[in-house]
Amino acid sequence: MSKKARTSGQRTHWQMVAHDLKVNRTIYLLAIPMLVYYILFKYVPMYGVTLAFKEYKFLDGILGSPWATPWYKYFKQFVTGRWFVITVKNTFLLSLLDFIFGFPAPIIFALLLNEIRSTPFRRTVQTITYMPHFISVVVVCGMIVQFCATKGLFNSIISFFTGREGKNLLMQTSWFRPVYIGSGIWKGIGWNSILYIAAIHGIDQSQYEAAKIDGAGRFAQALFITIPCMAPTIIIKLIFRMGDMMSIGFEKVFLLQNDATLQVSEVISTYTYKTGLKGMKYSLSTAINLFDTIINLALLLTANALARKFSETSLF
Amino acid sequence: MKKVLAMLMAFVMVLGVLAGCTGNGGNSKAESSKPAESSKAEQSKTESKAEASTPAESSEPESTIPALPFEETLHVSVFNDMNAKFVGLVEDYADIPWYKWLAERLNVVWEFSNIPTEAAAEKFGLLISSKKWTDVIDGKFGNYPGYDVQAYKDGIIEALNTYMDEGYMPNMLAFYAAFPQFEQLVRLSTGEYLEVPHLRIVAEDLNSNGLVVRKDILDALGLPVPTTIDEWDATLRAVKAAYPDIIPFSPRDAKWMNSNVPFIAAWGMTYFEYNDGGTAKYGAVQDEFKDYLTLMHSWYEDGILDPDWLTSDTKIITAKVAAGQVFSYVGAAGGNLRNPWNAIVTEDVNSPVEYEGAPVPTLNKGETPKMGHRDNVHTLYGGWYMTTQAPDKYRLAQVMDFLYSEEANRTMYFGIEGENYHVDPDGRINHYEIGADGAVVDLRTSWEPSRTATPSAYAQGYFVLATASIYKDNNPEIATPEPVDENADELTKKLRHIEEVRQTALKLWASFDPVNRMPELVYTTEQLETRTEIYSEIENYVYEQVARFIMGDRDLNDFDNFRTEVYNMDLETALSIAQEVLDQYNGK
Repeated sequence: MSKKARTSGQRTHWQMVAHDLKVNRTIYLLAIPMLVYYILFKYVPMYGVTLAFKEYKFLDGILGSPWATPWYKYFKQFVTGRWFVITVKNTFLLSLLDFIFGFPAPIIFALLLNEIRSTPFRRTVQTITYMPHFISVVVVCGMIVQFCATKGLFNSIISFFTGREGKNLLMQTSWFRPVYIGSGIWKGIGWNSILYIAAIHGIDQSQYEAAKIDGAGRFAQALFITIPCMAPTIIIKLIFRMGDMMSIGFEKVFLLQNDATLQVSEVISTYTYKTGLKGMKYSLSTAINLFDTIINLALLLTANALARKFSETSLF
Repeated sequence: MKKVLAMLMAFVMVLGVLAGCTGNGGNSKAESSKPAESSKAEQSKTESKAEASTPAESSEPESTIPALPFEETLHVSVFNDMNAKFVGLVEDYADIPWYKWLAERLNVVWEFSNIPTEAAAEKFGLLISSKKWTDVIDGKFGNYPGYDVQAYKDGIIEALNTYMDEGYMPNMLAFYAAFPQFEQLVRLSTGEYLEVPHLRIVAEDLNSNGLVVRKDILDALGLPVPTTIDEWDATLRAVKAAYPDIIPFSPRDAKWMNSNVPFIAAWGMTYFEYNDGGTAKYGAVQDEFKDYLTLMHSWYEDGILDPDWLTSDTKIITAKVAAGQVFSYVGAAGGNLRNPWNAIVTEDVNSPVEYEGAPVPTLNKGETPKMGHRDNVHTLYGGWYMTTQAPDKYRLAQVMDFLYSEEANRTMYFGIEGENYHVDPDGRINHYEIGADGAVVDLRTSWEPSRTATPSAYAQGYFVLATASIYKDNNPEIATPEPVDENADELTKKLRHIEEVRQTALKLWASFDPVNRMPELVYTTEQLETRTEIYSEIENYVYEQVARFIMGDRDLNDFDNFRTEVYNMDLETALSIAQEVLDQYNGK
């Protein structure tokens, strides 16, 4: 392409943009509140991360506070602390386990639900499994604590079958992770399956008919039609999930942990709360959170790159 | 000879003045206004003292200090949070009878911010960073990094020294002269007074928690209320054997095993810092602490300690108490002692369940406990701070000072004479009146909006004020108990009985000699920072390891390693700071 043609091409491009803005101005106008929202609430507050590199002074505010010397002071404090290895390990392990067990659960659930032929029954099951999602996490944790108590629901079941007197599950290090992950699946399975169920409904029925003619059974249909057709949805959800890998929910861990299980239950966010916010070390907590965020971002980018490499679906 | 006599007289007069501000202020005024014939120097000295103790409203007319009530209305804006006790009763603190009375008495207009407690920390941050402060900030500097000392250095808080020196705060001066031990808690080591403090100087006000036992079970087993650790051990084991379904002991939650020292107090310490005859020590690293852990571990193993002790909280324990599932527990007089018990008798008047407070246990019979649960007299969460932006600082100082006058204090506790109490012919304060229909009327209800049908503590004194309970202490002549209503039904009688048990328990829990308790020390910002940094780490660690030791997750033979680990967390630095400040404190 000649130089002249390119410049004229560019001009037409900008002209097109201008033209588009003019023609569709009402639609662009509609987008403004959203843009303002993101700028105001997501981008503007980002200057707050500078706190991680500053000696925070309450009265001077974030911008007015002097810089820390050396700049990595608070990162060093976290990394060399006694809890660094434990919290990073626990955060990672809990996320990983939650991912391994929690991610496929709604997919399997959606597939199973799809196989139910009786519509009223399916609807009922769906509604019941949605329910826990709408209960506040505080209430859910209160219930879990009660269920796990020495004479609680789970121990009653265990002692019914084994005949042995049970111990409080939440006070044993070996039980914390199963309880945490199991309750997470219970709370989220119905809600998280919605997207998959929608994807299944979107599959062209003629494909199933063709498969049936070819002699495929129910299982083969699910394996060769339903799952491949759900794949884009699964991958997108997977990428989102990877981005959240390290940001394990604070409330639930905090409400379920106690002094006896800290070795397995202390995660970065609860640690930040205890030492950072309670001790009013704002710079330290910001540094820890920034550390957490950087790892999350790295995971997200990796997941995205992998997804792009192995399939056609990716976020960007 | 003459000189000695003069000095003696002066001394007597000062005494009179002091008695005046602790007790009947009225009499002392008359006494001190009679100048003695002594040397001029002595005379002027006593006069200045006398002036200091006279409430502001009676200052000489030629004085430049404005008289109370002010001629011109003063607007006072106060940043406060709305105590849960008042939610639903009043929308604005200015509607609380006490503040209404103050507003009339002083000619001020209150502008309270009335922040809901849960939003208080956030709003406080906003207030500070907005740099447009209210005239007065009620407490809250517990949320400020470096606390009030740093806020003063940052120019937010106005020190009150100028106003005290210039005679605008006579009541504060009189109070500090009478109670130097409390002045020590408030004055900074550099000499500044930052606040009109909220002090709780009556021992019984400082503790509403302690051990509670099931009296009916003890009676059935023929056992007395346990007083020593050995007796406790034997009693709890006997209860476990006789009533396998009842939990012998349940703390409210894991942290209460330390903060309310139900059993560690017997060893005269807490998990954390304590004062051993002038030496700052740390409980968790002492040899005796291992004995404590050994006992607790055996209690856990043998099912004496609530198997769910780490996941328990106030609601859970209250439910257990109401269901009669626990034999003994760490009770709060109003919360999980009275309320669940009231619920039990309301359900079934003839319920045999009977609770009783137990004293702080000791190691040897007959000893006076050296430790027990006691709140701080002076906390960071009460007190009024004047900000540097207050427009009329001198008059505001007078308003704040008035909170410490006898008149204000008396009114706060008893209400308005004739309306909320009568003075009986024998001089006692009587809050009750026989109404037209013959029923007993509690006159306090119109004064204390938080008052419910069951008589509660004088709630306002705890929650609303920047003042000390001076006159509560010195006016024990309150007509108690309530006149008994012969026609009262079973339930009413039972509820009154519960109230009596509660009152007895409160006295019992407060009856220990807090010699081993760390006094309330005033640290500098730098000292505080170092200590917070070290202790936030250590305390979390101690709680965690104590849980592991008690559960048997960590072997008790490993205690020495645990001790070394705590020392490795820079314990000695923190302790030496405490020692330094403790020495200063004791040196005074």
